Amino acid sequence: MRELKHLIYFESLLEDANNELVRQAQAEGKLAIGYTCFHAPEALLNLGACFSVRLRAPHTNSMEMATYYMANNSCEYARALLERSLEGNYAFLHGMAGVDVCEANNRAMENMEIMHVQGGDKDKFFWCNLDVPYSDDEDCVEHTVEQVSRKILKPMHENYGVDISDAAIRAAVAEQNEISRIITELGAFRKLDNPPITGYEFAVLVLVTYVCPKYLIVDRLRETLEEVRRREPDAEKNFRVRVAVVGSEIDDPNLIKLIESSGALVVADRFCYGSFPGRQEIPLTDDEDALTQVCRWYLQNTECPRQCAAHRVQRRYDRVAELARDFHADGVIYEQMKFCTYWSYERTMASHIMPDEHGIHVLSIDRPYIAGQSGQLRTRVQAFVESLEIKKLHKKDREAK
Amino acid sequence: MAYDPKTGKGLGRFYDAKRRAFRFREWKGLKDTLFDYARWMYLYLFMAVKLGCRPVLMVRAMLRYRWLVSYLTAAHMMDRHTMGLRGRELRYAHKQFFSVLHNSVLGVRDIIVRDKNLRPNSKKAAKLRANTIMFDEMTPSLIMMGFPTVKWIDIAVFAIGLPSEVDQNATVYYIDAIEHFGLAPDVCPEPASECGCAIVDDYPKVGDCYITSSMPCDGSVEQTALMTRYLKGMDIFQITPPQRINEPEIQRYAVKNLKKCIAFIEEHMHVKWDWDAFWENAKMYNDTAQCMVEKWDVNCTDYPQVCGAALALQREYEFQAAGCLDRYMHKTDLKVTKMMHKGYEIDRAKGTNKPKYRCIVWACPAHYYTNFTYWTQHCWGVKCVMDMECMLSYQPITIGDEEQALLDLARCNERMMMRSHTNGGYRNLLDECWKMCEKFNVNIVIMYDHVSCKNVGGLHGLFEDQARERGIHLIWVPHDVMDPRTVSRREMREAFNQYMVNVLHEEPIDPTLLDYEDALSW
Amino acid sequence: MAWYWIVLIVFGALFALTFLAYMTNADMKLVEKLYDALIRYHDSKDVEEKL
Repeated sequence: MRELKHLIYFESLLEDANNELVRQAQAEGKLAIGYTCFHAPEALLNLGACFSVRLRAPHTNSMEMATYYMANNSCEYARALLERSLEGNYAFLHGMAGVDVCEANNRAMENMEIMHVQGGDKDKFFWCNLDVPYSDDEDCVEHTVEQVSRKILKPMHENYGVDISDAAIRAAVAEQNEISRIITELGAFRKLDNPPITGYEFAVLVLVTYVCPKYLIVDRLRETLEEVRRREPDAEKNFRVRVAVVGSEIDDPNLIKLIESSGALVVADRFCYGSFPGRQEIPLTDDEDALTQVCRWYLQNTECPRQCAAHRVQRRYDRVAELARDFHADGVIYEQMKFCTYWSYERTMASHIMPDEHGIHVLSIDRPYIAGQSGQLRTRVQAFVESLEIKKLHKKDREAK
Repeated sequence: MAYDPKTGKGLGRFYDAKRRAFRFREWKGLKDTLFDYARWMYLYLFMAVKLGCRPVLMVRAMLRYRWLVSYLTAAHMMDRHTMGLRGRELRYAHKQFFSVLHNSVLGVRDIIVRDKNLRPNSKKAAKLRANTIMFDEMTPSLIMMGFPTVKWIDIAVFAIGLPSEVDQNATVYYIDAIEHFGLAPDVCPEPASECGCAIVDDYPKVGDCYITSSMPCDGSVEQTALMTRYLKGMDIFQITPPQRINEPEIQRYAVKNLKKCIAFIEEHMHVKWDWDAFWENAKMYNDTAQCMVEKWDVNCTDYPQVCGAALALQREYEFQAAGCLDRYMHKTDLKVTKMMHKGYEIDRAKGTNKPKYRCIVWACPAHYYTNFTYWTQHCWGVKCVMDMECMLSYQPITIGDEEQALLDLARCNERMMMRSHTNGGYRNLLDECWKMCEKFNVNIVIMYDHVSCKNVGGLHGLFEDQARERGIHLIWVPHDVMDPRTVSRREMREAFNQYMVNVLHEEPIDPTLLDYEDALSW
Repeated sequence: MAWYWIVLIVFGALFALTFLAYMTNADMKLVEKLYDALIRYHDSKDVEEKL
């Protein structure tokens, strides 16, 4: 396939958290609000002059300082973020929408707060730790609305004079929905037998939408969508099997590249920083305030294993089965960030439940934060690809008989 | 002091590397030995009366449940915690620990008579189950104050929590099972053991519905998810209380969440919340909380009385496993508090029993080494005057005001074991530690370094930095809660020894306790 | 022999025996054997790990 026109540019935006477009937006007087988790309602971080930046720590090597401050068995993602913040890499932010959702992330955020990583001249800077309920009923929604109003909207308004009205929220949601529609349409091409977009390219595009001001990337995304519509895939498939990737943070598209270079096309991405559920449209109606609807949407659409109510657990397995079916995946790779307690359990349970109850083949892996070069991981994916091929052959034989 | 410098005989001589049991029991002087003997007899008689009357069922239960085997070692647990103690301290410890064992023995009896696995065809057992709710650990058991006619049994405490504290190897099998099932070994062994127990189907089926909770940590959240699947088909309620417990704004949701749990019990057990019973039980809770506060107050002085595990374990079980609903524990509390005040007056008048060093214990302790602070006391003279684990809910419940009482109840649950310090932000763990150092007048903190705990571990560096700034000796003692293979008791002791020798340049009070092997011991 | 002597001797013997058992930790040494046997029995069971 021909290279996508803006791919190299998009890749360059992923080289640094404080990328070119973030700097451009700030030069235009915009305010960068950092966040690390789906549970911080992204749409609400894009009100008025604010724009959201989902934090990443690309090219992480040493995490010695963070390992001193946090335990050496803390999630590497959380530690990488702390390390970068201690190095001053997130000093461009104007606020941090933290969530008390998992221990490692919460503690990383607290370490940042105590050590004033925002810098000395940020008297309007705000930190928060949203209390996100573990279920999704209307009491939980009401609780989330209170938390978001007090901990995000209030400081945004009081510290920076940001418009937090219903109309402003609707405008921010509309802007995010526009991005989500483009990503969804791009993602839908992956349902095709021979998709005109690779999992790696898609991962880059999705990631860019999380880490850049939306108004500065939307045109290039539209252009890319047009390009993919017209794009001719290679006549011969350059993959052997199709897989869905499910799990915790993947903010390094090289991991997807590694999987694809092992012969498995990534057709669905249900992981933090993926398009499911983060790039699904948020529907709003006129009969209820937008804030409540947004909070409800995030609470009811999170796929984080911390949602431990029985119906949520079941929904997660059903949802993965549905994705695998819709995107014609031959198997599912359940991955977890090393030391992530939530995903460790979820991955373990899924590796038994998905094959037993849904007939889906699962590869279960845990991986370091930067895993794009892992030889061990490559070997495991290659073995999985081979096993899926054998299963496909057996299935064909059985059908022929 | 148990060590005799003339003969060189100390407490270390009781340990035998090749045996689980002690070589023999300690001669504590005539009076204390006879007292200890009498308590030992009483424990066996009590177990014989309560459990011995169902010998066949007991044998079947022992053959069905691996964890139940650990309960055989109850007397050893008592010995572990009373070894080296004399006089009043011995009596406090005996009373406190016996109340825990008393509750556990009755709990085991309640389990075996209604367990579906043991008595699948018994109509009597089925009837008992129909009136019983199974609870998970860290669930708001105080809620049962308002349901006097409904029985509740915390299956996780009986199958995992208590056995792991009685017998250091009790849960190793379950940890291996869940890791063999695919779970990463870096997660906390406590919820992992509970999950392991589920996948090998080793929980008793003692009720017709189950209440679980998302608290107090990430591992517990996932244990809830797994247990929910294990008990699929049963009516289950997951209480999902808020996390940021210091914020007054979250209480509205907390109370609503609690009310939902009450409604679930009402619906499934066909009973109504009984305010009269609640007020009565709340008074009992208030009494026990007051006793705890009085113990803390006395321990702030130069003459601490109820210290170490006797202080911590009893309160943990009283609150968590018994929901402050155990009348025997309540009675024990009142008795021990009375004894303690008397003891304090005597010590103050005579100026005796002042500890050489005072310390507090912070962070999650090792279940497999509950007597660690007794060891620090006997070996180095470092007496634990406060343990974070017993610094749980102490605010009283307002009697007579229904809405306020529910709010108080929600607060009690927010201040339950672990949750009171590991939830709600760093202030509850980090800042609170320094406050307690000041309050209890200590400059040594035994900092339990639970190697799988990402929560406390996340503040490791800040603890180090701030302790240095304050001139506090922070002695990190690594452990892995329920898995003594990761960090053995011996290694825990060694970490402490190193600090005492190299930093405080101390000599041990009992050199026989410096280094000995007890990997096999219960 | 008067009955109270018999009672006293019985109680005395019981006390002596139990006190001996207590001091030598005979109870726990016996429990150790029972414990090991029961754990061996549990180890020998074929247990299926399932969810």
